[in-house]
Amino acid sequence: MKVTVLKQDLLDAINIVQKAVMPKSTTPILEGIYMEANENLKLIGNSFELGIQYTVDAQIEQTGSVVLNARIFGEIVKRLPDAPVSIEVIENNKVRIECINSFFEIFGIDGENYPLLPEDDNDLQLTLPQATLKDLIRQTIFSVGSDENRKIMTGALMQAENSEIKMVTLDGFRMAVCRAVIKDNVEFKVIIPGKNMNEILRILDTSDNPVKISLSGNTVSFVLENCRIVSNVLDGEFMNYKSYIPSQFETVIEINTRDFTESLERASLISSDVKRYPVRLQIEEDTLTIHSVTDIGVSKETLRIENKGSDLIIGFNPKYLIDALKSISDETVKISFSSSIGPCIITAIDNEDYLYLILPVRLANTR
Amino acid sequence: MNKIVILDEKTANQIAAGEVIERPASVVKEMVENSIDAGADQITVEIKNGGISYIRITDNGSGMEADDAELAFERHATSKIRKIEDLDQIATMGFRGEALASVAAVSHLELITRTENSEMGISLVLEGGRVLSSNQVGCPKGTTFIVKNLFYNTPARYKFLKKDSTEAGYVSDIIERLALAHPDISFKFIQNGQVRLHTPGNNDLLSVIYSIYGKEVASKVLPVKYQSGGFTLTGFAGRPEISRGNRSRQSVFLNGRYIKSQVVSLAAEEAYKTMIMQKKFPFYVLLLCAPPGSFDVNVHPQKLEVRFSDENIVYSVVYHGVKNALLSASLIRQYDSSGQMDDKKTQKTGNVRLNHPQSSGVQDTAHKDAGNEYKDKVLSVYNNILNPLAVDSQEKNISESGIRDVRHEDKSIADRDFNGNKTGKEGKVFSRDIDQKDAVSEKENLSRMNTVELASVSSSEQSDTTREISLDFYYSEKVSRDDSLSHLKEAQIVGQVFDTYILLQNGSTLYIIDQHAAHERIRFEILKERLAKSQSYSQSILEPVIVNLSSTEFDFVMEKQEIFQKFGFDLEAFGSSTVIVRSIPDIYDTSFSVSDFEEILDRWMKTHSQGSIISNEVIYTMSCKGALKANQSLSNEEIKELVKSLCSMENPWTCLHGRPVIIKIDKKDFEKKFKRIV
Ligand SMILES: Nc1ncnc2c1ncn2[C@@H]1O[C@H](COP(=O)(O)OP(=O)(O)O)[C@@H](O)[C@H]1O
Ligand SMILES: [Mg+2]
Repeated sequence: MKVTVLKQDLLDAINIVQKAVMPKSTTPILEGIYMEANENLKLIGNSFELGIQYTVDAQIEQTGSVVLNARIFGEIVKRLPDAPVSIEVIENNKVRIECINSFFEIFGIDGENYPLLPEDDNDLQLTLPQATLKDLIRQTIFSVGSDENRKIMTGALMQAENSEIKMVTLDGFRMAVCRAVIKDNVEFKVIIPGKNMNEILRILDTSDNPVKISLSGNTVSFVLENCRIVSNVLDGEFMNYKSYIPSQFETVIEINTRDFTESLERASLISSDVKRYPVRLQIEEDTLTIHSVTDIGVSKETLRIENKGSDLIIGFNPKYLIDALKSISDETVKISFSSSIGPCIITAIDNEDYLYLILPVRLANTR
Repeated sequence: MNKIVILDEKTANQIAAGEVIERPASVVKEMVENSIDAGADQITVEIKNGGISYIRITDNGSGMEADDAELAFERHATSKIRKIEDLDQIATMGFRGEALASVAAVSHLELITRTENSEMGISLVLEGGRVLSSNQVGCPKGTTFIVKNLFYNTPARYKFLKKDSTEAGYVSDIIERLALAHPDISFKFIQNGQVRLHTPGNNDLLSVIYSIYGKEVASKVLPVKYQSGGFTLTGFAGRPEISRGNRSRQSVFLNGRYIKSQVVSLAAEEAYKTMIMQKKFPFYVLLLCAPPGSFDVNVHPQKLEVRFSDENIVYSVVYHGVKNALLSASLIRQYDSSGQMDDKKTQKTGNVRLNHPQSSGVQDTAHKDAGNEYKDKVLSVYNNILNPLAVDSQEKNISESGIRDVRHEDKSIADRDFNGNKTGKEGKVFSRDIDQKDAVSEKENLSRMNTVELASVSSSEQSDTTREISLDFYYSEKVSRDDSLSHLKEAQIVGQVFDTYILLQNGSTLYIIDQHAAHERIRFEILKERLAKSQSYSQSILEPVIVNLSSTEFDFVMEKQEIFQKFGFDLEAFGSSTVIVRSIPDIYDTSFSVSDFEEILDRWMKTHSQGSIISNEVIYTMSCKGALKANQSLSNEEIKELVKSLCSMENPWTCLHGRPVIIKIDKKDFEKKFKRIV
């Protein structure tokens, strides 16, 4: 194998596929990045739970493949001057890396035995703009569960039906549901590990370039122009999330998203995750008072709202409200409270593109 | 001193007889108490063969007139009480008037004594209680008793004596207690020609502690000062790391008298709860001053067990006194450059020090044997004082708000005390390290001496070469709690190692924090505080936790439903064996599960049967669930939060099981390790 590739292109590729490489493995080949020169240069990182293949333009002088330790390879390329890099496999999988005046020879591993990514069987697939998928993930990923004992909750549900794609995450205290319209009329349902979703989120850009999602066997792939991401899926049935959404609401308010977020952020200044304190929301006609009492001090703010229900006092972990509000770009949101101890939901004023359900903290002064 | 008279029959019988001379230690105790009664401020005890063949007690007290000296050996001869009414107001140590008679009856005894006003002293030689000779002699003021061949005429009692070294240990224990009770008296203890203990008699208890236990211990004790309800508690409480596997380093004195008291030891150990590890017992020397009439000392013939008329007050004074001492100091443990944490080291030096028997022998066993029944009873009584959930809300205040409030007040007392000590005594004590030369000269002196000369020992031996050692170490390590915490709070994060320990640096100090222990401690105190304030925050959960229970468990949960609620558990019965948990304390995250609930319930039911309403153990279990674990990597933000919260804790020093949360290593220790300095 012998190729010449621009340093920046190579580094971008390494940075992306590296996310799928196991940092530590008993099999050295799995700590490596697979490189294959054919029509162009293909790099692969694969940890079985997640696999990423990335293609870069390169001048191919001789085809072939090799595996290089991801960490060392990455460190070397990062420090090379901005110029074309030549990579050549000489005898015994020894790899020669040259760039202007720099010269390296490092030991690689035969590419023959590298586990390549499974091929798609283009059965179930849909296509949507990268930006749309990126938004879907961004707006839901924060409420994915982290409890390994409840594996299903550590995944995000991705469901396609009726020309609509939905992402759902929940962690036991809250839930996020977002949807987007698609052109394809397919029906599928997968649970993708939240960890992998985060990596995919990072790789996606905000363009309208298409991303193709296809389901095959135990894996789901996301195919971009020069990148293919293959994730495993979680076995099992996702929670019947719709059943958590209350149908009756005591209090429904409309509030400026940004003002509310900032108020909550100020109220949390005197609290911390280690020493948590809830905020107390008091809805009285057209005002909302945000009140927080912690070991550090007290804070209080009042906001104008539009109230279409009865008055209410309710407590929340402010972080959960903030997480949800921050992922919303609408100027105004609707918040519906079922009761002072039941769930509340945050939705758009006039559509159903997103729904955040948050469970309150009961403020029992039991004395 | 009063003239000696023989007590009338009635008074003599009223006194619980039974003070028998069992072993050399009993002789020493009686004799030294007599010396103390005689106003001595220098007392020397010398023994050979564990005191079986030879005991000498020399004091510089009042001495006796010639005629009194003989009378003193009569049974019920005493100069201290006249009639039964006096028994209620006993100020002196001994009062039975039979010790000398009992000792004399079973030994070869010599007495040399002279009062201030007599020109000549008297020397008596007795055998089995009979006076063999009586001569005028020249001798210094004071008294010397020499008791030889104890039990020579009572083989039955002789048989019960233990090995010499064991008997010597008992004697040593007695002297240590007496020395602790009387810092104003200089005690010297010589065993087989070697000086084993020499206290300076400078009226500084810390110096006595230094003399007995060494520098390591003396540098790790905290002053106690507390007053309430007519009771005053002073003394020293050891830092948690000098705790040991038995109670041999716990001494309690009631109005100057060594006592054993369940109430006191329960209260003191409760104050250490969550600071020391299981099966470890704290070090303390506590001096309790109680108003007359508030206790009865004559319960036990050994005069050790005491009955208090109001145990609650005693418990509360001891608990708060010790707790305040612990709370007002910085308890960060120092990593020692010898490579050991300090607890280990003190133990080691402790072991080589004296070939002591394991603990204080006879009395100690009695103490242990007093049994759990009593302990349970007492525990249930005090539970009310300490338990924030106790029904009586007045008592609740003592336990929670009381602790914090008094802390500051108490700190200032402590500070004042330090300065007083420091200037008053120039920070010096006598050394306990007696060098070989000293011991040898002592021996030579003694062998050259005849009976008459011997009486002068007391004055000559005081001038021997006691080196003075600076107590600076003590004051330099006394960093206040607040200073220490603000130093820690301002420390820079170095990072995290093994995803388990947090490293921080400030100046030349490296702090190491165990993240799990720290988080557990924080959660524990949050729960405690919320409980005390009856303020619970309860996070509702999406999927209720459904717990299936046995009928006993179910009944227990239902009975305690209200308390569960105070913690933030919202429970609902479903049928007769299932409980639905709809919301959980908000310190938990989403990983809270059925098994967590079951574990809490288990612990609760176990500790409940022992009489407490809700024990700390249950709250520990609750705090442990969901706390940060080892092998969990933290961001700098998270570390900052954790350290900040930790610094606001009442006890940031130890985890709930007494393991350290924070340790520190000085740059100096690194330099020692790398042999840059020695
Ligand atoms: N070291 C001593 N110095 C002066 N007087 C002593 C000394 N030892 C004993 N005595 C006198 O002998 C008396 C008898 O002592 P003891 O038999 O122990 O009875 P008690 O101490 O109960 O009076 C004491 O009351 C005291 O007057
Ligand atoms: Mg006596």
